[in-house]
Amino acid sequence: MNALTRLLALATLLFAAAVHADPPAGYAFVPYDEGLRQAEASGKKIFLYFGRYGCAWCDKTNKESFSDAGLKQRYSDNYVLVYVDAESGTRLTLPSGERITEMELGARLNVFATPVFLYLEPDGSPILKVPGFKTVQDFRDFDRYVQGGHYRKMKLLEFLAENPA
Amino acid sequence: MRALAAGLLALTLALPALADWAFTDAEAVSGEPQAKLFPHLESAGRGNLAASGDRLAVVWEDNRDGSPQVYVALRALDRPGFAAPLRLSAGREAYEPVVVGLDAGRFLAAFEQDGKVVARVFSAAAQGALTQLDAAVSAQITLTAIGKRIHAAWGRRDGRFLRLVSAPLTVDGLQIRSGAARAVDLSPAQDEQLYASLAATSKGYAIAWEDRRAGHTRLLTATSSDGAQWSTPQPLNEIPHSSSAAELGLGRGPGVTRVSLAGDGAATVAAVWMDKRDFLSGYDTYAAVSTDHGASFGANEKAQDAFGAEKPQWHPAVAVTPHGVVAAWDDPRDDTPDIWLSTRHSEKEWSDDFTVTGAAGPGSQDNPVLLWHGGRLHLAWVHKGADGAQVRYAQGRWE
Repeated sequence: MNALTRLLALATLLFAAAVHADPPAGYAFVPYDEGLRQAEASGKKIFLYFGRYGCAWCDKTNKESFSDAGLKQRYSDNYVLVYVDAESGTRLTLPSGERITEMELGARLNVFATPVFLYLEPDGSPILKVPGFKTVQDFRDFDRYVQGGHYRKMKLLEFLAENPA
Repeated sequence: MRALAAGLLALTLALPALADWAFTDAEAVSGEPQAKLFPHLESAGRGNLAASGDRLAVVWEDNRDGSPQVYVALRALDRPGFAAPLRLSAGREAYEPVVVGLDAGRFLAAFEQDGKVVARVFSAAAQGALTQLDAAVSAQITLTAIGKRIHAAWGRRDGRFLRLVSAPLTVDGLQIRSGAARAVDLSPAQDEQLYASLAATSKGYAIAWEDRRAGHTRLLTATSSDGAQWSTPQPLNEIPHSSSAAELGLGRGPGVTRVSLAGDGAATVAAVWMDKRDFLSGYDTYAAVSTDHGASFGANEKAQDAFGAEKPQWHPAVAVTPHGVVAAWDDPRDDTPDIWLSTRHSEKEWSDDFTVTGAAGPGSQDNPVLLWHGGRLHLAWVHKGADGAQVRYAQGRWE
């Protein structure tokens, strides 16, 4: 294989990786029901990332936000990380025992766009839902709000107004 | 004044009557709701309804026996009331059943059981043996039947991906024989091919599926005269030339998923799917119609009206009727999910969205399936209320 062929192969590989919008590389994302089991055992809250195959804004979030080493450390320490493909037929088990597809979970949680990020209690009950591209600072702010328990007392926007970064 | 009234009456009588769909009261299909009982009307192509002889069959999956299994309930086409559910699956778990009518009250159901696609012939009086259609890991089976022709398509695990294959089926009494399963698209498996839908036409078959090989999901269609060799796949969903994401150089296309086909058995094939080209409000129900046996489809048309624009639409189903193509889906425009329908009167002309009594209102109504048969539009859906969930049914006529 000559140098040009190798370069083209590498470029193709990088391009293919860039458009797939899978979970960000290097994070220990697990399926939904595995995440619920881990959260129940550890008492950690859940960070649930709803992505979609070919999702442009997921790709942007992965490249510009989840590539931050500090954010990776912070979220890996603080949460059980769960990734759901919003158009997948992969099955999962809800806490009720019901078996549904990942796509059906999105329908029930009204995941009308991707990406959508949900912060959940260890038992799976919702704390916060934020749709769309978010910056590193956004994710740090959401983490302060959730991990500090402020969601029990005030709305996100009130918290951010009183506690700017 | 009397002359004016007489004139208005004469004018009214002279105008053509405005026909519309009129539905019967909703009926329970899956028995009484119970706590922790979870019925699902899900399948590739949303093919959970079929008619044969004087019978109608609805197939679904639920956990009444402790694990997800497949059930059928039968009803006389012209009399209300479903018989008690019959179990069709026999493994550890089973999902995503589809059904087609054969003749004289016989039906063919197919579904995923323990990771492989299987089929079974049944009637009100008897069930044939379960027949495994693929020894490989397989899922998402869809069926079509017209006259003596029966064809199936499903996803077969090929390395990391599900690859679409199809095969002819023959039924003798309660026995099923499967012909060779061949790839619908002969190019190498490079990524997933998912959730296909089949429609029989007077010239063969049309098929549509989700295809992830382009780095995003496209909907592709193909046709075949014999089900053995398929035409070169054609794109079904249009990709907008400009979008905020495209301008940023991100991604290649909008989200599209869960295509369903229906036909009139002749030259017309209609497709509906979920399409997120307007991504701020989630999926919309889009449609396209072919009048050449599925060889080509007309322009993409948004099936829903503007009142549903701010909410996502889910689970679209379709039927081809003499009164126009009918699309059904669920959306939460009135806060909770209800079944909504729209009728295509002519090219790009869809009716205002309408609901069906019993399929809208308190609780949640979702996952519609449709069938046009015997001059009736058959509609089933899942109702969820305080007592639990239940599959329900209503029958519509154009009057």
